Amino acid sequence: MKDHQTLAKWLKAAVIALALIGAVVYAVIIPSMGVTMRAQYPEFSDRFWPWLLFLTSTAIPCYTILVFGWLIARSIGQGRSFSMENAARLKKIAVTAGVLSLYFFVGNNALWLLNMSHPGIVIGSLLFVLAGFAVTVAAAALSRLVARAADLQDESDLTI
Amino acid sequence: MGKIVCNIDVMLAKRKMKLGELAQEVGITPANMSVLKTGKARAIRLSTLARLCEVLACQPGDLFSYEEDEPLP
Repeated sequence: MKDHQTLAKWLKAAVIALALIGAVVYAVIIPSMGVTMRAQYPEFSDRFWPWLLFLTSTAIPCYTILVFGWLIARSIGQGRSFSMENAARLKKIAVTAGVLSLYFFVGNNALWLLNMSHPGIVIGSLLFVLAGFAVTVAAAALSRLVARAADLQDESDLTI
Repeated sequence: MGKIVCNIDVMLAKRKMKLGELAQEVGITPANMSVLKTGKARAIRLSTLARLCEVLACQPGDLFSYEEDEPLP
């Protein structure tokens, strides 16, 4: 099997694994933790639904990024690693990750200001925000590099 | 900025040669020869240019010409 096909298979496997882990986290772990905390601390029961909705809403951009990742892996498998389409997809991943990080930051602070959170949770959430911005910067840089590589590939392909 | 125009058709007609035959003689694929002929090529190797001139018994200037882009109205 050619290198790019092997790489594509590994990337697709990683996307599937992340999608399954995400499904378990969003469908099982987060709701069960919320239910457990509501049972243990009834005085916080009014915070259950806002937090559940806030956290599960982050699934939309996360799975959007996974879809773009799948499309990139498929292109790589077809031998079109360096293409303007992949550069555009990486740019979309960067934008989506940036928006998600901002949303998570604003949401956490909003819930804290509404007296539905704890400063420790806000500080802890900064780790996820920073991770999200790191993904944004990395994806944006990769997008630029892939676009340049696509241009070089095109020039090479059209050199007679 | 202008563009380089490929005039291989003219030389093919003079030498009474088909595009596929020229591609085979030069050692490039018919697809690449078509890319060159239709002006979609971004670069040509000097070795390819030398082979074209050898096969068609001509000079590089017989194969390519420079045309200015038409000014905007």
